[in-house]
This record gives sequence, structure tokens and C-alpha cells, in this order.
Amino acid sequence: MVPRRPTSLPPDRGDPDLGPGVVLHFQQLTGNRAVSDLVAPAVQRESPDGGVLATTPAAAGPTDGGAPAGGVQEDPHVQARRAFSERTVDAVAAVTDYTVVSDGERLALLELLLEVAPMSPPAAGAARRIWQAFPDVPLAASDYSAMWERCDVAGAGLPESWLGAGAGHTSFTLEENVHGSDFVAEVAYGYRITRDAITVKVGYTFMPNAGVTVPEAAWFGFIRNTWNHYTAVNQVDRTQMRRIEFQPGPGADHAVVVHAGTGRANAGEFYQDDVGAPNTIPHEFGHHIGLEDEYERSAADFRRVAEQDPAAPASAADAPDAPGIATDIRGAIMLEEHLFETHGTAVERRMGALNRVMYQHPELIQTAPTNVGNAKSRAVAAAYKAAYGTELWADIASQIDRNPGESLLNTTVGNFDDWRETMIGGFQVTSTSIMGMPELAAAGTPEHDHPVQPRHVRHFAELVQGFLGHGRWVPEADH
Amino acid sequence: MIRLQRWGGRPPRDDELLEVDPDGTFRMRRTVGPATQPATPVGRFGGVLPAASRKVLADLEARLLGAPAERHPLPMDASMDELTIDGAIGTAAGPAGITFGGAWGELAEVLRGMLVDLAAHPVAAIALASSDGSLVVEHQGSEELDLVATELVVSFGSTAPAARVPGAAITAGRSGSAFRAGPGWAVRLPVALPGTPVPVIRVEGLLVGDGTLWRPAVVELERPG
Repeated sequence: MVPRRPTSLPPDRGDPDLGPGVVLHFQQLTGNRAVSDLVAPAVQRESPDGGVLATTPAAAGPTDGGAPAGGVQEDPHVQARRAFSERTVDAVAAVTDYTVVSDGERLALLELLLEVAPMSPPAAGAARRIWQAFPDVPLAASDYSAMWERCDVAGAGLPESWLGAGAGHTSFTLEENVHGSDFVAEVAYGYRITRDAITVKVGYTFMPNAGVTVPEAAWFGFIRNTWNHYTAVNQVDRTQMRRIEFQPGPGADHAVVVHAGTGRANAGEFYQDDVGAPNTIPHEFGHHIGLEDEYERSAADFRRVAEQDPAAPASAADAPDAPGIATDIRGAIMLEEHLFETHGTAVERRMGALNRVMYQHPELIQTAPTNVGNAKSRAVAAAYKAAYGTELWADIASQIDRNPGESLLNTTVGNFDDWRETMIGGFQVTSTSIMGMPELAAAGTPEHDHPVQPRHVRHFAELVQGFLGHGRWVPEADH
Repeated sequence: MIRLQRWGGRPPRDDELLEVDPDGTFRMRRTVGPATQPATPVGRFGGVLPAASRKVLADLEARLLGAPAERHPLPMDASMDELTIDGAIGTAAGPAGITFGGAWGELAEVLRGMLVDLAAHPVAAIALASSDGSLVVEHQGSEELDLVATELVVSFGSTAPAARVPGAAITAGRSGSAFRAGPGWAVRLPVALPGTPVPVIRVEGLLVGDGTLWRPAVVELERPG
């Protein structure tokens, strides 16, 4: 069952109720014991409804949190009561132990400190000590993230290390090898787990060529529209959930060159007029958060990356000639080496023979709009495996294993790696997710409605799991 | 012989080739036509370079004798530009658009420019054009070009949905069957242009053959009239 996005979460305790209820609660907790410590005449204040809120000493206590005059350590309950009644920074900062009050009361004290912004050094120090008084600081910072942010903005100087696993920044180089070529992408993002979400911030510095206007707002919109469809849900208690929210924006995580006109976008270069931008920009974003490509993969690799079996091949009725084509391909690539020829010459003959077979069957590579294999090419690959017990693409790679040499190459074949990639690619597997070719997603398939699939955002549910340390959190589409 | 090859990348992949012989004879193949006005055709090209261009290449070739090869890591989804001189001196490969060092960089700049400019010398090619508010795929050059069209996808940018056209709309036979386009061949695409101007129109779904290999092709047109 797909959950809806949370619509009725309890209020973020970062906006505490400072009304009579909180103070009365405090009084109920500490009142009798604290009253005995009061040495000065008390001044009563009235609540809006006429009730007694608290008693307050006429003279302020010490502001350094130490003992009052006379050297007797003042009870922190008394200090806290005084802070609530006086509602001054000095009074709040004078409290020597904030663990004696409740979470809500600590938030109320922080609220008092925030009445004067930016915070003075004593106020900032008090704010830090209040946060440290929470039993679980990272969890409190998550639950009361709005308050944490406000304190931070006001100059409390809250160390990010206090957030524990509730926040972090990831940066590494992602590498993949496709047909012998090494490809890299820089992965970098920051995350923060709050009361209702895990927000993932990915910062971009665009470097436009002369005359280029970066369509930044549109590109960030494509990313948000594509990626922000999931919530991490605790399977043990499905009322517990965190939205997985990606926030692309200006920042230093990724430097991307932006060219004029159109061209092939990659992880480090975008094009101003890219007609495929609604797909290509979110695809590159996927690399920037650590995902591999899901196109032109071997069946085994596809299962690893896309976590699914390749799509079904065409049926025997739809592709009756598939076994015959498989046989022809087998005959081409298994041409034997002659006694007095070099290995390169044999490889070249195999290439030529395979070219002739494939030129007779353009339908094997004509899946619009790309050459990423289709039902018939899968049928040929399946027939090949059924007949010979091996993968077709792997046999092409092993039988035509190295460049036969520039002098041997037909000009029309050109680059050997390129040629082989074309041949092999037609018999490999491409997903229709955002990390493959979403343009190929057929209506009714999961990828058609959600080019981003749960596997793509699972890591962020795992971050929630690791931070909270309980339950079993998995990503589920929420809209 | 000097060669620039641009290949690979997220599908539809690049598969471009430019070869220049010492006497200035060049052969070129393009499969992805960048958006220009008029459009850059895709297919086969050929001719002889002017003397000035030959001298530029000869000078660079001399400077690159013994130069160390360069190889740069490729960003994911990038295609590779690979420069080769006589197949023996070395290669400088990197993603399209990367700046090579020294003379390799100068050679890359010259050859990348030629990859666009020499498309004005088609042997057997097709291009996208606009005429009277409609889109036309037309043949250019003096020789026939093998084509396959199963389904064409016509994209108008990020603001308008793509149109899908059965291949049979531009072939004499059924969708997906191979056919040959020769001089004078031109077909109007049965698609309506968006009401508002678009910067680029892109057509995918064609296979271009040279008698040896079928290669997916993409044709684009900048600011169609």
C-alpha cells in the first residue's frame, strides 16, 4: 500500500508554546522544592486568565550560572523558574543545569534567548548548553530541526558534529567501466534528517560559456519533479515516515560547464538548449548522488544495477527467425584462424562476417529512438544462449577480442572499440528508469509513472534507518 | 593520416569520424547532427581540403611527432574524442569539449571545427529543414544513402510534447524496412509545429547505413522558421 505524504504530523516542537501551560507545568514539577530556596520577596505575575503563573525573586540571581552571594549553590530548578518569570537572557543563562527541565521547557528557554537576535555571547553559550542538556542531542536536533536552524541563524554556534548521523556530507568519485573505457562522476551532497524528512542538498556551480544563460530554475525544477516522489516509511510502524526530499541549488558540490546550443550532456557538461533536458538533467543528477548507469549492461550486470531481470524477449511467433539469426551470428564470430594468418587478420574476417549478418537485420538495432536492444534482439540472444550455452555479447567480445590494427580496419568500420560497443550494445540490456532510457518506458510499466525507482533512493532510507536505529525503513512512492 | 573519432555516450551514441590523408583528401561520417541553421546533415561526406587547411594540419602533425599521448577520464555519459596521427604517433582521447594540452589541443580545435564545417560537402547525407511551416527530411549529396525508419521521435524542446511518426510515413515500404534515399529525395514530416517558437527541433529514430554498419542517427535544426 502506498502511503500518502504525512499531512497531520504533530507540531514541530521547535515552535514551543510559551503560554501559561508550559510554565504551569514547570511549576508543578519544581514549585514546592524551589520556593523554599527563594530568598528575596517574590513578585507575582498574572496570567492572561488571571491565574498565578510563577513567582519571581525581586532581585536577579547570578548571571554566570554560579552560586549566589554567600557561596551557596542555587538549585537549578529555582534558576529555571526565575528564567521563566524574568524572561531575560541573563536569567536564562544563569541556569546551571538545564537537564532538570523537560524538552518543552528547554525549547521555551531557547525561545526566550531568540527574542534578541543576533545572540550575545552569553546567550549563545546558554543556547549551546541547553541543546547539550537534551538526552539525545542528535535526535533532539532532528525532532526540533526548526528550532536548531533558528538558533544557528541567530549565532548560537551549534557544532554540526552534534547532529551525529542526523546530518552529513558525502563526497567521492564514482567509477564505472563500460566496454573497456573508464567513466567517472563526482558524487557530492549533504543531507539532514529532520522530524518529517531527509533533505538532500546538492549544490551546483554552473560555469557558462560566453553568451550562455543558464536555465537554472528550469533544470532544478526538472530534478525536483523527477526525484521528489518518495517517502521512507518504517515498516514496523507505518505512521513513522520521512519524506525523501532532494534540494538542488547553488553550491559547491558540483562544477558544471554549460555550453551554448545542444549537445551530449554528461556529468560535467550541460547544454543550454538541450531538448532532452527534462530527462538528461535528472539523469546526471542521479550520478551526482552516487548512481550508476543502467544502459547497455550485460544481463548479470543489469541484475546487479537495476535489481531486476531483463525484459522478456520476443516470442517465437513474433520472431520466428531468431534461431536462424543466432546461428548466422555464431558462424560469423566463430570463424577459425587459418594456419598462416595473424590473429588480427582472423579478427578482421570475423568482424566483416558479423557486419554482413547484422546489415541484413537492422531490426535488431532499430528500437526507436536508440540502439539499446529490443524484443527481437533479446530473442536472438536467448536463442543463441539456448543453442550454445553462452551469452551472445560475451562471445562477440571474446572472439573479437582486440583491435586487428589500424591498417586492417576498414575505414567504414573505424574505431574498433566503437564498433564493438555498437555490436555488443544491441544485445545488452537497458532499463527504462531515469538512469537508463526513460524515453523507452511503455505505458503501464512502473518506470512510466516513476522514472525514479525505489532502488535509486534506498540509500537515503538507509540513512534514516541508521540514524534512528530502529524499525525497518524502506522508500515508497508517495505520489 | 590524421583522424578524429567521436564515439560513445548515452544513447543515441555519437559515432563520428573524420579522416584526412596527407594529400588533403578527407572522408567524414556524421551520425548526430548538432543543431545549426541550416541543419548539419548526417551521413557520408568527402572531398579535398584547401591548401591552407592542409598546411595547418601538416604543421601540427610535425609538432606532434614524439609528443606524449594524452588520455583523460571520461565523465559519465560523455562521448570520447580520440585523435590519431598515422596510427603510430599517439592518441589524445577525452570527452568531447575537453581542452587537450599543447599541440594536441590545437589539433583538436581544428578537427572539431572541421567536423562541423566539412558537413557542407555531403556525399550521401540527410538533413532536417523547415519549409512553409512544416518539417522536411531531405537528401543531400550525389550518392544514395541506406536508411531505416521504424518510428521517428520529433522533439520540440522541454516545453512541448514529442511527436511520434511511423517510419512508413517517410519510406516507400513498411516501417522498419530498409530503403535508399538518393538525390532529390525529400519527405515532409506529418507533424504540426508548436504554436510558439522553439530553439531546436530534434528527430531521432533513423538508422543510416553505409553498406557495412547501421548506425542510429539524430538530426536537429536550430530555430526552425
